[in-house]
Order: sequence, then structure tokens, then C-alpha cells
Amino acid sequence: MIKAFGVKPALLSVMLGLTSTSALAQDLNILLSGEIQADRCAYGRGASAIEQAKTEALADIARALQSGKVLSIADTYEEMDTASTTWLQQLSDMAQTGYDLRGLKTNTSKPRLEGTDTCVTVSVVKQTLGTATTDEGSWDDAQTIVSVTVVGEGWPDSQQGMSAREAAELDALRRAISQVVGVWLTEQRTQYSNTVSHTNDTSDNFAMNDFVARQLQTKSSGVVKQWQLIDSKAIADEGVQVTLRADVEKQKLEIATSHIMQQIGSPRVAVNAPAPLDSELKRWLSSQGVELSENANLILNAKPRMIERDGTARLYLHVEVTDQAGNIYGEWQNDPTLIALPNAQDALYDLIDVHLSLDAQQKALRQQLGDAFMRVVQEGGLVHDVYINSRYLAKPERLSGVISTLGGAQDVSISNDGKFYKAQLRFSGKTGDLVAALQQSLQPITAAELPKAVIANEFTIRFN
Amino acid sequence: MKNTFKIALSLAAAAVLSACQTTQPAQQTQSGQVSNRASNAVIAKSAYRFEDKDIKVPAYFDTQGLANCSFDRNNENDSCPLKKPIVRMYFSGTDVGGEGQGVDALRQYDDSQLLKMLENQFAGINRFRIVTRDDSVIAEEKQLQLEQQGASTVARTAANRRILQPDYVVKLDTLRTVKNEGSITGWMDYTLELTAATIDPYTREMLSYPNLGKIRVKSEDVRDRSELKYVMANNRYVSGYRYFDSAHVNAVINDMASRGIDILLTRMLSEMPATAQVLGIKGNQISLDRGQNAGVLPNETMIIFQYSAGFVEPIGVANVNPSRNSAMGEMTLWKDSSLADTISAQAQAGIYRPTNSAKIFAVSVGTPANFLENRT
Repeated sequence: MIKAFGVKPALLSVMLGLTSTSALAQDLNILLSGEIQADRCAYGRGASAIEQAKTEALADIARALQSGKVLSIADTYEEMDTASTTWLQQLSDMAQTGYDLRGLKTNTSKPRLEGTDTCVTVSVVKQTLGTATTDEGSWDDAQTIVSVTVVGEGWPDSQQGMSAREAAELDALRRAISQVVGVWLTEQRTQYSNTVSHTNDTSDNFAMNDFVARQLQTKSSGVVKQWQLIDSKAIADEGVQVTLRADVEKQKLEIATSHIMQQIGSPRVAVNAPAPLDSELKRWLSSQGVELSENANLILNAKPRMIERDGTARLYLHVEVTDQAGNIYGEWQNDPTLIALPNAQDALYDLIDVHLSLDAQQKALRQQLGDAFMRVVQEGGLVHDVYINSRYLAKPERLSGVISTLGGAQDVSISNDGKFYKAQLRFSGKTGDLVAALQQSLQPITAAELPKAVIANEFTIRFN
Repeated sequence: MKNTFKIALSLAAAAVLSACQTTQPAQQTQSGQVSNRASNAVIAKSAYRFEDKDIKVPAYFDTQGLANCSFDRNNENDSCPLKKPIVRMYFSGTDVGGEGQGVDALRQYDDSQLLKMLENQFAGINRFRIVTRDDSVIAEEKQLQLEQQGASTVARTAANRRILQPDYVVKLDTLRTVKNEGSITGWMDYTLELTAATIDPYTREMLSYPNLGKIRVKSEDVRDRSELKYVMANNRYVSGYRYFDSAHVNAVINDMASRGIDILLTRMLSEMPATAQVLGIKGNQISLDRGQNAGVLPNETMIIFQYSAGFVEPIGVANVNPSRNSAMGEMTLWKDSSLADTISAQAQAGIYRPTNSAKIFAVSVGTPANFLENRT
């Protein structure tokens, strides 16, 4: 049984703040089953009008319940069964003690049109009342060591000279570090938001944790204080599966991880773009915390193109992150359809300004830069060129082998133009560290003492 | 005597039988004259001037309800009657061929301004959603907003409110011709022919609907012949209408094109009438479920009809005025039928609400009676 209700008295009572029983009685209908119904209309059509009418109807129900007079509104109270009267009483008591009625299950009727209004009937059906609680765990800051139990698998590796057991242990330890790094990075997300903002989904998070764990393991930073073998068993293809419990030192891990994150987040870059785009990009990169240097090995190449039509201009902007050797680490392209401006003298400035102010485009560009920086670290650092005058080398054939053994160096290639040997390698540390390491490790193969190295720029070292 | 009567009867019967066997050719077609007269606007009669015999359901009525509508303008359901195709308009200027008096000036006619007028007029009748081609005004406004609101606000707004992607292209083709008559005192006679096409730009299909036909406008429709007269001497212009001056020719052609667009609009309103569902009738007042949002225009003459089991039965005519999303109308004449009488009696006694099995709809007759006076 649904009654037809007048809207005007209801509105008037809301406007005057009247919650008298008689006013409420005109808005509400309480069925024998204990179901509470409210009928409301809102101006307009569609979802917003339905939502508004629904909200007003719910507010009516809430007001009636909070007034404590809901039972007196029910004309059929005398005929109701005990369950229904108990439910209404319980609901009314809870509403008066501040229970949030938004959690209640409601039914909304099919909307109907009345002139310019859309009307709905909302009903609260009899249901079990209760509250839900949530319990979320958190990172304990007081702890200095984090103990984790992990499983690792490994197979014999003749190239590296590792047994299956060793490989499995290494794998397990990396997983242990990765696990702790993951928890820490989640905690620090705001601090490294520039770097990890693009790693929002779960798979990306795992990739980032694993990446940092590998870097930490390569650098032998000793973040695992001790570990204990719990179980070991043989697996297919002569492999071994180990279960171990590792104690990871939180402070060391924090320092080492933040160092890597800084490396990823703020390497130096050079900007290669025509004016006025170069200055605009430099301004933007500075605001993003990216360090700029004319001699940086990492280059941000940007090419703007104006698309002109009928006296208007749009901007097509392509940005590429490369190194001096021409390796491309990342690309980004703006959305040229965003805006067209009159093709005046300063149109390029204005267009760059608009495109670089848009959050979505900023985020996309930042993500590409972040990905590019991460790739640089992932591939073993930036490419460095080392020139050594031939007269200093007694055993040039061993040059490649010696440089390959340097900690942090990889992808070594050697060339010779007669006067100089040129070694090209990726190095993940500072250029100064590379110079010191070279001077020390090259001694066994030099004919004479190496002169002081000339650092032409961040990526070129010369022993003239 | 008896025999004579029998013979006469037999002859009569034979004559009747032979007449039955004679076959006459069916007359289903007739020859018609192809006219090259100027087109004229056809508009609806005011609802107050309707007679009983006029109350008939016009073509292209639609009985689709609003049940499938989301009422979200930019994300409307395909089956919602409020969904309008998004179009971009083109004035396809046809070149004027040949040589002769006044041809060069006619050729110089620029229809870019006419395009904007066409966009403005079409937007007002709410049959399509128009994506303007006025790049300069839009770019200028964005430049001003950039200066006044700042780059980030403009960028954010531009990203949130992207340019609509047209579903169709509405193309108007024009054919302009000129001829001159007379010798010493002559006059120019211009003709403009307009055709409109709706094209799917991807499939290149030209849609059959709305079919606006061809509109022919002659210079005599917009100018008195004396205004286009000129005097020649020794084959040289002396005085009168400056047929060689593009500004003067533009003035005439603009008026002709403007008239052509007006006729086009009236045809569009007849081809795509506004339809609404009647929610209730109280006395002579009717309440409709849609208004401006469905293209109902002020002072719309609408036929009210009942739709039941696939049959339509007109019950009256109403003068309707829209609000934003509903409309109110006044029944000016009830049809002289038992159905109309029943409904009218119930409406006089209170509110008549149509049932689901016999819904009542309203369909516009065409361009409202005062549209040409007030909107063109």
C-alpha cells in the first residue's frame, strides 16, 4: 500500500525546520511489514534528479527516525507484528544515538515523471542492524631488524661458477630484501612520489621492489644481517629449493634504497631544444626536481612543431630521453588536440605553457622521465668513454678484461684509433669513483705510471 | 409474347456478362509538370485555426519513450529519442562556370559568412548538435581566457571539455546562375539552387533522411526587378544596378541564400517533427514529458494521438509551449470521435492519465505558425 504524498507541505516543513509528527506523517508511510517509505520529487531529469530526490527522501526518513516519533506516525502500528515493532523501535533508538543510516539497505522505486520533476519512492526494508569494523596493520617504526621467511630456487650456473644451492640462497635473499623494500617503499611513497608515482599498480610495485633489491644485492650493501636455513630440497633439473629466515637491517636498507631512489629520481640531464622551448622545459624540469647540466650524459631532446590552420596554431611536441651515444631511454608526445590559439608571434610560448600546465600531460612526461632514469640504472648506469694513450699500456689485450672486473662496470667495449685506446662502458657510480678505480686496477697492465686523469665532462675520462 | 420476353432477357444477360469480361487499364499514375518555379516555405497552421478534418497524424511521428534515456548529454543511450546526431556543417560552394555579363562578380561570392549563419539557425531548432567551424572566434576566446584565467585553468578545462566528434557532415550545395535580359535597358536575373545532404564521413554513406529536397530561390523573390535594372550604351555600362561589382552582387545573393536557408529550416522541421509523450490531461491542459530538450518550439501546433496496438488515433490538436525538459499545451480542438469524447470527459472530471497499453503522444505539424516572423 503506497500513499500519494504532497510535496509542498514536506518542503515547507524542511524550510521551517518543523519536524512535528503531523508534518512527518505527510511525507512518510510505514507499512505493516515495518518497511518505511518516503516519496520525493526533484527538478530535472536523469541520474542527478533521481539522486537528489533519493537523498531528500532518505533525509526525510532519517529526520523521522531521529525525532523518535516514527512509531506514532505508523497508522498501522496496532496491527503490526512484534518483529516489525521491535525493528522500528531498535532503528529509532540507534538513529537517536547517532547511528549512520547511510549504511542501511534501501530500495528505490522506478523513477516517474511529474511535469518538470522526477519522483522516486525510497523504502528502508526490515534488516539486521550492526556495525562493521576494519583492522589494518602498519609498519612498526620501533623495529631495527625485520625478519622474513622466504623461499628461493636455484640451478647450477657454470658461467658464474655457482652451485645450485648458492644460486637458491642468492635468490631467496633477494626475495627477502625485495619484500622489505616493498614495505618500506609503500611507507615512503609520498617522499619519493616523483619516482614511484607511476608505479601504482601491483605489478609495477613488484617490479620496482625487485629492481631495488637487485641493485642492493649487486652493491653488496649488507642489508641482510644474518640468515638461517630452515629447509632445503631438490627440485627438477638439478635445482635446489631453500627456505630461509633472513634478518634485514632496516636502517641500512633505508639508506641504500633511498640512495638508489635518488639516483633514479634525479639524475642530471641536458636539454636540447630550440628557443623558447628549451627555457620552458628547463624551468619545468627544475620544478620537478631534475638537476640540469650542460654536460650531462643524459639528454632531453625536444622538438616542437606548430600545426597551423585558418589563422590558428596547435602544438605538437615530441620529447626523447637519450644518452650521448644515441641510446633512447624514453619518449613522450603531447596531445596536440588539446588547444588551438590564434597564430600570433607568442603563440608557441602560450601553447607550451598550456600543455606543460596540464596535470595529465605533466604526469605522462614525468612518468616517461622516471622510466627513462630507471632504465639507465637498470642497464648498469650511463655510458662512459675512457681514452687511454697507447704508450701507457703494456698489455692492451687485457684492457677489456681488467675494466670488466671493476665493481659497477659492465658492457665494456674497446676500440683503438692508433694513438688512443677507447674503452666504452656503463658505470652506475660517480665519475670520480670510476677514475679512482681505473687508476688502481689498470696498474698491472700499464707500461708506465698513468698520468692524472682529465675529466672532459661527466662521461669522458682521458689519460692523455 | 412469352418467347419475345425470354429472348429479350437472354440478350440482356449476355450483354451483362460480356460487360463483365471487358478489362480496363488501371490508372495508378498521372503525368506531372516539372516546375522550375521558386520554392516557398510551408508552415503549420495555428492550432486555434484548426478544423475537425485537419486533425490527422502527420508523417514521421515517433512513439519512443524516455525509458532508455540516461539524460547525460554527452553519454546518451543510442535508443533515447533525446539523443541528437552531432554534425559539422559545410557550405560547398560550387564554381560558377562560363563567361558573360555579371559572371565574374557572381563567381567572387564568398559563402564563409553564410556558413556561420547556417550554423546559428540550425543550432536553434535543436534537431542536431552542431560543432562550429568558427575557428577564429574559438581561438580568440581561448587566448583571452589564457590571459584572464591562466594556463593551468585553461589546460584543465580544455582537457575536460574536449571538442565533440561529429557523427555526420551536413553539406549544403549551391548552384548559382545568372542571365541578363534586355538590350539598352536590361536586368539581371539570378537563381540559387540549394540541396542538403547528410553524410557519414567514415563510410561516405549519404543518408536518405532528412530528405529536404531542392530549394530554388530567384532574385525576384528578394528584389524588385526594377532594382536589378541597368542601362547600357555602346555595349558599355552607363547607370543602374552595378552587376559587375561583387559587393552589390553579394548583397543580392546573400538575401537569396538567407531565404533559401529559411525554407530549408521549415522543411527540416517538417521532416524531423518534435514528438513527446503525454503524461496527463487535465481539462484542456496537457502535460508532455519533454520540451526544449526534444526540440519543441514555442507555439508549436501539435496533433495529439493515441497509440495502441500499432494503430494511431488522433484525439485533438494543441498549442504547446515548452519548458526546459517538459512542455505544457492547451487542447484547442478535440476530434469529433468517441475516443476523444471519452478522454475529454475524463479529463474534465479530473486528471486523465494514459495507460501503458494506450499511450498518448503529441507530434508537431511542422514549423510553428509564427516561426518565420520571430526567428528568421
